[in-house]
Amino acid sequence: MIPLDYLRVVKRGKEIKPAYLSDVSAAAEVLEAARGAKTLGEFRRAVEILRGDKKLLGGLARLVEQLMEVEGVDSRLVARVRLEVFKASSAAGFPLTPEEREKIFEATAAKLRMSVEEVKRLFMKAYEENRAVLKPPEVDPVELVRRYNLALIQTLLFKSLYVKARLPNAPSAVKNLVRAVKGLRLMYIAEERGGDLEFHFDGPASALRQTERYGTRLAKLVPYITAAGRWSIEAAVRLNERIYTFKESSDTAPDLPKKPVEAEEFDSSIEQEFYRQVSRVCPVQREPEVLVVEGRVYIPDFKIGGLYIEIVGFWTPDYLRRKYEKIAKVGKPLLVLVNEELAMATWKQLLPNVVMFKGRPRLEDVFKYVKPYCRQ
Amino acid sequence: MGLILSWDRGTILIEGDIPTEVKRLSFVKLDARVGKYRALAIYYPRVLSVAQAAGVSVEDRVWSPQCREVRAAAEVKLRSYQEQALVAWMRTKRGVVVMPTGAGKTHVAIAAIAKLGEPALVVVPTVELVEQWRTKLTQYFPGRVGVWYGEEKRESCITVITYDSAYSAIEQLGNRFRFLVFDEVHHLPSPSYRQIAELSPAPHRLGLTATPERSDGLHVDLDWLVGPVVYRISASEIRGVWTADYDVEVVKVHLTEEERALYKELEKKYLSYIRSRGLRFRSPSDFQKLVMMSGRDPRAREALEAWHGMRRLVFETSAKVEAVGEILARHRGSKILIFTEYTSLARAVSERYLIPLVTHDISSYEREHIMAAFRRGELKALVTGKVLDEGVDVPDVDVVVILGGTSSTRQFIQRMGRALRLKPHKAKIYEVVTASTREVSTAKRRKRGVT
Repeated sequence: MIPLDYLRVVKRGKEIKPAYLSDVSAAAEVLEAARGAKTLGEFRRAVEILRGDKKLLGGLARLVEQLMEVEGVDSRLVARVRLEVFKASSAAGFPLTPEEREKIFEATAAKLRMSVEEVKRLFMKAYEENRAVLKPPEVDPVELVRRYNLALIQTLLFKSLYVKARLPNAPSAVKNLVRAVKGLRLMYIAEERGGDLEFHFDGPASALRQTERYGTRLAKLVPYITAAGRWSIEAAVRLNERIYTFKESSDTAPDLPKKPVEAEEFDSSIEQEFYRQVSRVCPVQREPEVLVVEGRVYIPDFKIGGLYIEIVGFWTPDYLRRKYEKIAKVGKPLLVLVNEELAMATWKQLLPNVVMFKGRPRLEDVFKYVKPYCRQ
Repeated sequence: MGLILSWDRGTILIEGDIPTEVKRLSFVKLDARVGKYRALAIYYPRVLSVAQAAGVSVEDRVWSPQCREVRAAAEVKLRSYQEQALVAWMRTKRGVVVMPTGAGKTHVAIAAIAKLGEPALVVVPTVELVEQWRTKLTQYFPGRVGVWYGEEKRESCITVITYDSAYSAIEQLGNRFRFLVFDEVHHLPSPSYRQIAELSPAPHRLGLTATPERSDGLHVDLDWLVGPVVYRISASEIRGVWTADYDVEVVKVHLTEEERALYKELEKKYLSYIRSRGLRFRSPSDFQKLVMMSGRDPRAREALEAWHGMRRLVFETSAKVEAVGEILARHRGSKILIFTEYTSLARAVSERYLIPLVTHDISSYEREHIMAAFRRGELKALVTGKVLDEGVDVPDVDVVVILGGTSSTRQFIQRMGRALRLKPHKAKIYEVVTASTREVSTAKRRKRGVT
């Protein structure tokens, strides 16, 4: 992502879109500047004298800085050396001539048992610009342009009031997306539509007023959405007191980074073990499609024929209570395996399709439930 | 089961037997996403009192307090006017106290925390102020003070936090503190910072400032965000009695030949555009027009760039760096604080005279140690950009040097205030101004009604 100051947009009536980059020459120039620079300061100055759109160059430069390897500095050591210099200077009544100034460095070097050059070098490392560029970014101009265009979408959403997204019902993508929503303390409503899932994302206060408060967090959802391959996004964006609509989809968007968002196949070893056991006697589908229950997403672990299976591992009582409420409303054949020590009394009483396990679930405990759905 | 109120990330969820009086409140809305009523947390006291007046029992699940109670380990001694301010605020336990810099606003807040005995969140503008409040609070509440900013996030019974951190953390921290203190409360009404007040359910709120007024007029919102002004005392009422007397000297420096020629050229470019469009600048919002125009008109953009160029020239001329040398020579052994407009000039001064630098690009670790050494007197001078404009208490500064600044009177008062802590001798203030440039009138404007 890049700061809002570098955002470039195209407005048409009430519609807004990022001014996507298609030409790679600016990206190539900024990358070239990074390759020729010994320090961050040199890189920034080299970019400053490039001709062209300042916002474009500045945005590209930000991304390049994020991608290059910059010298790490021991900021405590730097601070200690500088403090010694300042204290010596203060004690001497501050140097007014270059000779007096040199003496301060000499005295400090002697005190710290360092060379004068080393003291001076560390003294200047307090400024970010003086840090060395160890390795320029390992991306080509085409990839930098892809990342830039994704960053533009995200930065535009900094000012969004809400974001809607539509993507195929593929559990790996949805799982990460929903997890991100929770981690970012956002809210969502999900709906099934023609085999796709439609999401509406915003935050708690959005029900009370239009607010950009959640914009920077909504922007972080974009890579999870575009990772789906086929996707569309719609958002309301407030810029300069006016509200615009932003619409984009995998059909119309420029090329974006291919990097898929990492998905864990299994939540825990218990599930892996269970899969190993059951798949020996019955075909098991891992990560089946996501179920939508009253706007919430429910992600089962396995599917055997038409039977959904979920293993509820360790979590807080509150989590289990909400999970229970959700399960009770699924309305589809569902088998839930619950760790005995963690289950609430109501689980046992109300749901016939709940199997308790101790330590780890065993095949013999579940086989009678699974058998009718098992088509070998 | 009665009415149930609970906390949800900056809002209050309302469930159970909801009386119509509560449903009818304009700020209470049904949230279809969760099928419950919801209100911004700031309305919590209103919802509660309306429900109680309607006679329903309330199950209040909003609070998850940081600690049960706060007790001061030492008595907080107040000066007579501080005592008056506290009494005025205690009447409603909401509102703003206006006192000039150096009058000891912090002590009013500490006394209020001690008196209320509730967990408190203290919101301050800068990292330097976080440190300063932590030190002072710890004297009265040892072991119960935490800080929350950048690298260090440790919550405690009394937590000091920056406006920036509070803006994002209020969804997490809101229901832990029943008392909010806003230092330099004139920052609060801005569109983002005001959310700290809106997303907190704290019934008790105290704002502190020397000048609540804002040029954008948003200070009127302080009434509902924090409460009205409950106490006000001006600098002239306590000058010389509680704060030091001072003396302002204007030092004129000249641009070099080269700088002078460049300045004239930029000025010509700027003025010819302004005149060609018949623009007049009476307030900051008029200037905003030029900024807006520069988005479309390349000539406006050139004029704006010329204006910035002029500004940099007068603020950064090497003559100002020289002037610092003369002042240093004149005040050997005094405690000197130097302010600049741009970081680059602050750096130039720091590198030339090896004076410690406190700006945003210096690590907070280094800044902390510099401030501590400056307070102890191990460091006699310090140069800074705008970071220390506000509230930071640097005792016994004898000399303030203003190398550049805006025409804002507030900024001038605040910077001056650094030298105004009570001391036996007169404080000295130098304003270094570039002769025959716009800076001369800028400097005059900021002193209007002050000296």
